[in-house]
Amino acid sequence: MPRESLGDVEHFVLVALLRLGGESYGVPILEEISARTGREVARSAVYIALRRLEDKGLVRSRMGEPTAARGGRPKRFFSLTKAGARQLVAARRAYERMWADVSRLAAKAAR
Amino acid sequence: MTGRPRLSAWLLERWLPPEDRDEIVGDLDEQFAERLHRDGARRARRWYRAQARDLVWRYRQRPVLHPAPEGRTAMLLDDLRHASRQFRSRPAAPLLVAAMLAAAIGLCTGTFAVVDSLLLERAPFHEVERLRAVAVRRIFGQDNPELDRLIGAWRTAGIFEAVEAAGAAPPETPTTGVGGSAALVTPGLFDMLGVRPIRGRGFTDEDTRAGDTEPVVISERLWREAFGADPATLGSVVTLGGRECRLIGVMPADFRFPDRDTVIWRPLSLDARPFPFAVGRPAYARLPRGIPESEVMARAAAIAGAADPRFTARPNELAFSPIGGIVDANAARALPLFGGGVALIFLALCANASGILLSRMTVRRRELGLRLSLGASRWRLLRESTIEHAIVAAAGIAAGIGIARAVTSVAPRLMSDGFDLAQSLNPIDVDPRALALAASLGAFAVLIAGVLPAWVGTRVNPADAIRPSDRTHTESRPARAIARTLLVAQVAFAAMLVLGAALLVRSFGRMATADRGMDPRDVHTINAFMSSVAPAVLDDVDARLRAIPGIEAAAVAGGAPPEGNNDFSGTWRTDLVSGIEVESELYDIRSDYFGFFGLTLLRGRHVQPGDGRDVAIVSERVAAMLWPDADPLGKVMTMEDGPFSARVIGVARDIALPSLLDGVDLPEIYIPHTGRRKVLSASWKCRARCPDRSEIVTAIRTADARAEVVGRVSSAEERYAAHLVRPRVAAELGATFAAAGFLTSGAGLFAALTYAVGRRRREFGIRTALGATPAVLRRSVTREALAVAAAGVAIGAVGGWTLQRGLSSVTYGVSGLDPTAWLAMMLVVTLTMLAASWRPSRQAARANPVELLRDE
Repeated sequence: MPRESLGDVEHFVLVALLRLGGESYGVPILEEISARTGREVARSAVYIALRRLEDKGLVRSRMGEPTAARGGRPKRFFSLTKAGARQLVAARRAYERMWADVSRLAAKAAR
Repeated sequence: MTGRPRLSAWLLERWLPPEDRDEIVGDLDEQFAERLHRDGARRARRWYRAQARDLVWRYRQRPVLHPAPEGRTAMLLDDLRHASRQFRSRPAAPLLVAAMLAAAIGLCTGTFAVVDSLLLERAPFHEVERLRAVAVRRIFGQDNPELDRLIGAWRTAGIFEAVEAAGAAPPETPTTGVGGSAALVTPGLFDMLGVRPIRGRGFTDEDTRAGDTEPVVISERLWREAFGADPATLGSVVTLGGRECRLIGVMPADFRFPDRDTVIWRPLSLDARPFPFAVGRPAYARLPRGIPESEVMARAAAIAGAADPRFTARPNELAFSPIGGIVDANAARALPLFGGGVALIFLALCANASGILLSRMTVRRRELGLRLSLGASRWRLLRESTIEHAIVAAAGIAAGIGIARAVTSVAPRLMSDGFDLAQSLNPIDVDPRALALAASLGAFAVLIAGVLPAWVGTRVNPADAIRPSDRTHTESRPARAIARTLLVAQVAFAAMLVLGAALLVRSFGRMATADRGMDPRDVHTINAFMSSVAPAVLDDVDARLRAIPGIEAAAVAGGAPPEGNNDFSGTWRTDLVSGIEVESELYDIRSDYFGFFGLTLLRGRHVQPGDGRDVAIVSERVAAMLWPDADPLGKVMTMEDGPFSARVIGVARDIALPSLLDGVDLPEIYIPHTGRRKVLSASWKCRARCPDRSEIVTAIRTADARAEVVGRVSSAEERYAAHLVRPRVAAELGATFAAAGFLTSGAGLFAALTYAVGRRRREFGIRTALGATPAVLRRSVTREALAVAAAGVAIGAVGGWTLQRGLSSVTYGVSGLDPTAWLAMMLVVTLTMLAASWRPSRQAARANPVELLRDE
């Protein structure tokens, strides 16, 4: 069975989780993505991607404790699963294979 | 959290799914607090509003974005919610589709129920396959023996398991006052049919010897309506139609025998004198097991011959027929055709419903593409579409059941004249199997046509579908092909229906305007059995009739046209031919007969007083059969298998009785009324004031005290009209079906063209800009309509070819290839298609390039 490929936002979210290490929640993930890509990503897209990744078994989540700073609302902590990490590696390899030997051509075409 | 925009906060609470809400709003609030501190209230609030807008907008598409609900029930509920949203936003198409499906299922199932009750199903009696109506043919020229002698002989010989008599009680019998008729039955009849009374008991031999108060058994329906189903009435003396009788039993409400409307049964003894039923009325018998029917029949005929020598004169005089079901061949031929018409309507309606659903394909494709791009799975979208259309189909089926019920309750009233519905002994109920079949076919059509757009639509690249300006403004090739095929199919079905209707209408016209060979105006007739038909008696009856005020002219004879009701069949020999079978109508006439009925004598002379039984006048058809290409005048005709021989003194023009029934429009043989048969047909002409039956009965009885006047007064016009009822009903039904057919296909084409023109507005705009004139654009749309019409007519003509061959057995004087009917079909279909394309073609011609460019 061919593995389902990752959408852009899903890819970003997985990499952000990898970078943030261990467990992380919505705000740092959003900030990490916008800091790295240099653009605002739709908040809804990130939450939806997280939910879908969880459905696919690529991330797992748990609810934290409610805090006063958040109006008594808890955080949901996400972490990468092994399958998620493997998928990420596979996705990166695919990109690298596609990019092999053409970086120069791309730069030239863009000029 | 203080300071955040209230409306946005409320919207988030309202629209985010509860399981995600805390996490998302918590994250948002956390960042808002930070921004409030960093950027100030105004910018932070603006930021918050933008974030909330994004979240609410996306989460409003909840069925897509929300993770699939867990559990089947939750999933189903979710899909149902989605379907209901779809209906509310665009109710027209689903409603129309459900209505068409309902019409298709209702009409089809209702009609099947009627056909089933009449044709397919046998009477609801025990081992009905062994029950037979045993009819003995009437014998020409003699008093017919009474049925009791035959039944007695058969019983003694024991050739049947049981044999009983049953028949409608004489009309003088008072009956019910609530509708329904009374019947006389021999005591063993109920047991033979295997039907038991639900209350009380059936008849015993004792009951036929009852004293003053006759015992009766009544139907449950009558028991409820007349006596409120009061158990106290059982066994007691009650009054039925002004006559006292003892109620001994109640039969089930759906027991119908010997007639569909029988509600009272009276006991009949085989010893009754006079016995009410003569030969010609059937006896009812149960065949013994294990003996072939032909053998039983042969033995029954032999025994009949032994019982009464008059039966040995002719062989094969017994007819065994199954009980219940359809009675005549014409109805048996017409009903399947009628069913075929309904099937065509069913197919046309289903094709139309499918067409409507498919025409939404492009709209839906865009919507589906959008949702795919937002992450909905293909499986999910297909499931939703299936559920949505399953609901449409379910609504259509539910309404269809209602229509079917309505059809079965209205049909007996509408068609009783035309299709002898009264003859069926079965209740007319919606058949669950037929309903299941029609419903599943209809639902299948709707589901296929409904889910196909989702199937095709979810295969497209979502990115294409959500492009703000979709440049491909015409349909995809397969979509267009499917839509066009459905349209052509509709037109073909409609063309077949129009052709069928045109043939039926032409047939009816031919029958109604056919030359009758007689003048039926103002002629009334009643029949009587006489004790004497001596010339003096006939003269007396004639004079007494003329003396009745209002009567302008009178004629007494044996038999009155157009139906003499005296079938005179035999094998003839003349000087030219021998062994010629002629089925004819025999009239015993007097000298005034031809003048009174406006008949035409072509050659020879009229009957004169003093003519004996050795002369006859024959009609043209008889003459042509017995004396091909020769003059029959003065020649002798002899019946080879009967006691009849006569010299021809005249040739008369045929009397025509246009009818769809076989053996009705027979050629005529006229003989002088010499008293060979003691029958009398008294006919008179009256206009403004016509006498009552009682006045006529008095006149006849005064002349012959022992005369028995039978039946009611009938007019010749009425008897002609009776034969027009079926063709009229058939023509009306055919025209209704055809109208429904071409309205459906016309509406289908109109919708399809309007939609296509709407989609091609851009193309038309560009063509206008490139110099196409409005006329050119109009023509291009009209051409499309005509192409559909041509294809439809071509396919319809092939179907029509088969159809007209079936119809030839139920039409009169019209060839299946009648050019008028075929031309009418082509014209109607083409004109309908042109009319349907008129508005869309004008729309196309009005395309304005400037407006289209502005759209860009």
